[in-house]
Amino acid sequence: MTNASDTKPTDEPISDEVLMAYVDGELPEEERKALQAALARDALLMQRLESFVFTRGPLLPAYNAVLSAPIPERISQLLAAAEPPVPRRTTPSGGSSKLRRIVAGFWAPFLSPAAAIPVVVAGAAVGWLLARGAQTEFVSLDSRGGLVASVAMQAALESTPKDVRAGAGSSLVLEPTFTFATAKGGWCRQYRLFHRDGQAASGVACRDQGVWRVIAQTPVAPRADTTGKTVPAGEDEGVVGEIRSALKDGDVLGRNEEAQLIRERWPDRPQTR
Amino acid sequence: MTDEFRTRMVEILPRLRRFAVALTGDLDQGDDLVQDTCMRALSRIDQWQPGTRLDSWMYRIAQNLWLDRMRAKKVRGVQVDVDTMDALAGPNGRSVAESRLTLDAVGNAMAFLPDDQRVLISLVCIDGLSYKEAAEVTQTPIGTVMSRLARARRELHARLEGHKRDAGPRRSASRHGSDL
Repeated sequence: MTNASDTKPTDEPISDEVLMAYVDGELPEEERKALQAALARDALLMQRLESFVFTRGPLLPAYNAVLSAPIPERISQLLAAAEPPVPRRTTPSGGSSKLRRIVAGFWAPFLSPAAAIPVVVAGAAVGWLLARGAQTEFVSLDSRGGLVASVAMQAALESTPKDVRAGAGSSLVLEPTFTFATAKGGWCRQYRLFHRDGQAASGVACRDQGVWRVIAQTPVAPRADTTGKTVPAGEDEGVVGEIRSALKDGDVLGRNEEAQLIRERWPDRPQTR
Repeated sequence: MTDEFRTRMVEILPRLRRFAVALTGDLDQGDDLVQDTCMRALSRIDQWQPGTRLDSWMYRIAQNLWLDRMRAKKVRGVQVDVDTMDALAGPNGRSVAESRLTLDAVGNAMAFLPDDQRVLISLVCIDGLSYKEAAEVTQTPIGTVMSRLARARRELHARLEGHKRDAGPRRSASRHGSDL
């Protein structure tokens, strides 16, 4: 790769590969700084950057719709024919942990080492949306029971700062409440989800190779705070909070750190274990 | 191993589908490719090494199946639909740029790209793989990945933004470097 740090505006030209690597976050820090300085001086260089910014951003939404489209039966059947009992189900049999009281569960290998951490989804929480035909608006179920956030929810999780509400479909509003890292080097967000019929849920979604997956969600009884803003009841959110604690590596992020992540499109961080 | 294989295979299905649709430019054809990829993967389970990335392995299978199909089409003389391609640019070359980028619009523009470049756009720009990961999937040196990808992105941008002055539907997209 051309070493952009050696490049001056009037001599050695900066290659398209270097500009592309800058946009894609693959340029070493030293070269990145040098290129930023060159970009500040050279409008033509900035213009050349446009192709790479354009093909990194607007293309994705067109294809992301595919992620939440129902899997064709012929493919599901092909895999189901030999599929093992994939999801590790937790039972509502009344263990001491709050997690064990949740109705249904699945595990997310991308979050955990070989012995996967069981994480949970409250079946009822999915139900109140699915019962209203909102499946495509909220998540799609893959054939192993995993939940891929809808395109609208993906967009809201991807770019909405904490404590700000964003549309997540025609009936839904999403409000991120915490952003945190996992030990596996990924990022997760806790959120509140409000349905236009007044119901609400609290959940956690994690980003897995560019795709937000809903890890846990539980219905909550909405209540109005002193400003009249509807918020989920604290006790129910505590369950999701406990899941957050189980997944979280380090502190939840502050607003500045979170804003940087959003700007940089959620770059990977080193695994800590 | 079998259970792990199948579990992970199901898990990556949505992304594999997106990759297949990006390659083929069509949801139905993409699903055909996914189905064939899954069948091929299931029949060659012994070739996957636990501990390696299953998604990369399956992407490689999908890529190879698709490239084989494209080669077969070329042998049979099947061409890109020129009318469709020309319609993309519009009368003043800006019709796509001035409208929302739909799957069809991006797919049509992608159809101009050489097959190897289309694979790289799908892997890096749509699926978010790093250059190194894309190099592993395509089994191509990283420098080649970068040069092909940069070329493809300039071409795609020109197609979609209507900036291209010399658009030609069957022209080889093999321009390089300083042509902007």
